[in-house]
Amino acid sequence: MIEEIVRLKSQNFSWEQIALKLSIPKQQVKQKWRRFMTKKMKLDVENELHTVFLSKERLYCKWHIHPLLLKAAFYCEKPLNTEVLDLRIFDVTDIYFNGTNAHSVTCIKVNIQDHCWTIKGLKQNRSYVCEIGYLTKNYIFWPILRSHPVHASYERNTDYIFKLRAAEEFYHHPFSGPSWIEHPDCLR
Amino acid sequence: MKFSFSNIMMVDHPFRPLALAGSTMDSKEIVEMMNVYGYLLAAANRAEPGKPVTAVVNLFALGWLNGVRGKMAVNSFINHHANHISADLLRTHNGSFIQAFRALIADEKLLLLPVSLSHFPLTAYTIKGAAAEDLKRTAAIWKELFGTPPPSIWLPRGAYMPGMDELLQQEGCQFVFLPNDAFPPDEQHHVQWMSPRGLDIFPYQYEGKQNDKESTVILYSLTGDNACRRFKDIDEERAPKLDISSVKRMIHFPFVYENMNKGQALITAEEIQRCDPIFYLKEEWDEKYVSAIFEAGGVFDLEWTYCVYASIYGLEEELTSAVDSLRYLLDGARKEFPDLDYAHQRMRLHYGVTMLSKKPSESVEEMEGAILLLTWEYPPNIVGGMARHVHGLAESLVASGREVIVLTASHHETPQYEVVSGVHIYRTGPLHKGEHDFLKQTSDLNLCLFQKGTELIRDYDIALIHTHDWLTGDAAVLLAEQQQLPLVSTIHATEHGRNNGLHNELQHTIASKEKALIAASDTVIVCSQPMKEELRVFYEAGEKDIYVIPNGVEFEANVSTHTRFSHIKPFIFSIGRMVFEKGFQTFFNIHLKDLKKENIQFIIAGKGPLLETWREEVKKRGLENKIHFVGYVSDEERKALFQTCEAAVFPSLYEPFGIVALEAMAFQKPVIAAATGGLKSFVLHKQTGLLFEPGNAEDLSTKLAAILDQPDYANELGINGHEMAKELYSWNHISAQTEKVYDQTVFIKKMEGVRT
Repeated sequence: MIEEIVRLKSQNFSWEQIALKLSIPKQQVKQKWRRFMTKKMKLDVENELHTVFLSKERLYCKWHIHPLLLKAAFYCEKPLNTEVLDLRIFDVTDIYFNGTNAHSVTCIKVNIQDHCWTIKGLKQNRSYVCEIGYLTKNYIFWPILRSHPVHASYERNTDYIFKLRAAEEFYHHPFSGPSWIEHPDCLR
Repeated sequence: MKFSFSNIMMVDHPFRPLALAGSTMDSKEIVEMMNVYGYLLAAANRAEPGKPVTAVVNLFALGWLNGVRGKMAVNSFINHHANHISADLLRTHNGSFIQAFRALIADEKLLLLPVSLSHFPLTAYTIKGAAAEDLKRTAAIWKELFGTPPPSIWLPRGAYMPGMDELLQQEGCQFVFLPNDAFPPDEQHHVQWMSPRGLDIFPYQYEGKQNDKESTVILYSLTGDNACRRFKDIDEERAPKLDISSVKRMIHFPFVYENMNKGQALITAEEIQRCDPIFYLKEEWDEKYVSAIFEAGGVFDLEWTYCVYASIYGLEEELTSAVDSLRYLLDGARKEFPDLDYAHQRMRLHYGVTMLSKKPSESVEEMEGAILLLTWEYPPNIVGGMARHVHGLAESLVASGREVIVLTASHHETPQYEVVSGVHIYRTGPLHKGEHDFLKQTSDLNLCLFQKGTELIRDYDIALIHTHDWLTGDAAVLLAEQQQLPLVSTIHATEHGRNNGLHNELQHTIASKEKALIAASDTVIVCSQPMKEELRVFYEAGEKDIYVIPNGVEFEANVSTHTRFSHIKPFIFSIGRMVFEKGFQTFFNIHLKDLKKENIQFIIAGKGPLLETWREEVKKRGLENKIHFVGYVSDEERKALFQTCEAAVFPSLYEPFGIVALEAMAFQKPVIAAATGGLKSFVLHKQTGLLFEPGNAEDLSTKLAAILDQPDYANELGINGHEMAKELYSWNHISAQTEKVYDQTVFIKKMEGVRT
């Protein structure tokens, strides 16, 4: 029933038309759709991997993987060990990261019950991205979630000169977007 | 102490509303608050115009000072401490810190800016969107208090990363202070830093705490002379450098926070984890928010943000209380039955702002044009409560700048048209005043109103029609339909409710008129949640936008004093559900003999599961002549009991808000309340009532004696309480909410137009 409502709704049928087609009251249609959407939204927000700096060389990772998502992942690729996940930190400075081209990668084994980890020893002025996943039966890393990228602070406070040109460029032509990593709440 | 723009005062001592709630004007909390903010006022007042003192303030504290409680506390403080450093200045501004700050800002003696509301480092949120919302909320409160966007927002712990310049600009900020760790030390004296989005940046460094004998503030200093250029005059010793022309220089850096270069951490994993449960709470409610009623939206935001604040500062007790409060509101919203009285009280007493939120993702513009109010009665024609209601509403709408036209029935010896307090009043019909058939007379009136209304719509730029109850419903429906105007109706009472069902033809006819009115209205306003439920159940209004705008407590001058209990005199009154948490068992253990007024008795009204148990307890203890559990009392009786009692006691062990205590205050009665939850928030000890330790009969006896032995004192408390109750449920408050409903209705109507 709900699939039908969602399908009709996505084809821009009005509530009345859907109610008529499925011969149930309009209010029920709305209610079912709303319930479904909130549920769906909840699924979306429950899967997340966040990274924030605790200090200039420590990164705090926090994640939440919905059991259904984990189940789906395990269904696609059998895990080597269902109790262990792999948290990976990729150095993605100045590249378009494609999963295989990171400058370096650090692997951390975490327990399936864990939900956070602090990574120490980050290098200054490098960009990082984290992924959480697991090793498959073939010992291949299989990612489930990726974090927002972060950029560690400069090494010296004169290093701003590196991006001075880019910053000026952006000031004059803001539409091309900044060439650096921004706060995740920033709309760009 | 020397202050200038190159020194920034961080006026931030932890905001602890619980401590403030139980405080008197001499308690440590109030004295500290008065000192911290009073000294800032005094320092700014001494400043020369153009050489302002710069200060960073906590918006929770400022909001509290702006709230009903805060204003009262400040006023009574300055009355009792006439020599306090800020007393004179505050007196010239009616005891309002906000007004005083505004004046000093206008004189360029003070540059005030807020810390972002939660005080949580904005780069360390582990939920998406929280940082942007934090800034947005900060700016919204600032705008409500000061009428302009904040000049800047101070970033907690100096945490900044690129992109936040855009977020700050979106909130109207012109510059930002950032820790000097990120700036090249050799160059900063010659340049004016600017973010890639053109936001001015002033580097600062931590200077340390400055201890005055009265107050402690944290001092920061600006590290570049450039900072001082913002105001043409600067400190003398820095003046010579003024002629160095300032060079604007763009700067981008990936991340900075205070003391980063010293190797200190921004935040610990433990601190983030401490906030985790609060963050989860937010995730739980984002979706509920969609279905929650819009009036409660602002309070969710503020309660949640305060939870984060309390959590990051480790204020355990405050955190527990704020979480309880948020959970209580969430529970209500989840069941589509939010406790709006409580929500409004939290806003007005605790946070001091209204923050009425709009429906998500739709921005509502303020409607233009006049409001046509249709009403059966309007002063001097007063039959029931409606005349007073519409009168109060009309005049405060005019006061807030709206054009209001009232259309009502004619009344002997009053003109057909007059303007009273800015309200245009037109009177017409019915043609057959002598008609005995009530329905016929009403139809007659409605047709007259319709004709006059058509004329008025032609002559005035009317944006919306607002009618009250079914009596003028037909005219309203016809006018709205014919002229394609949005229609708002306030349902004060229903025929179904008035008669406890529909029993005859007249009642059925009236109910059907009520239904027609509700069906034709774009928006319906009711005064209480039960009323809303009634409309949903009995009036098929399930799909309607129904807004609850509480009328609050009634201030009635003439209440009958006769009850079934008139023989019990003098007496202390209490009312509530007969359940354990209402704490009525406390009465059994008070020292009746110690009360000098030995003939005093107690009337406790209300029903509930424990009623019989407690009645038996009274018998067992032989107190039948002292304590009377009278069970259910009618509305009229309740009012009469409030009117004739010596004092009202509310001994609740748990009480989320306690509107009954407010009701007692409306009757100018001294209130003795247990120091719990909501009661504590408006029963200010020794100001608007007395507080006692919940469940402590001995303490209650002392407070009872204090009231009964000192009639003058009791009277004073009653008058103060009355003032507070009036302030809380003033017409300004109600009309402000009504205006929001208007804006919303007009907006929705417009969108409908776009759709079709």
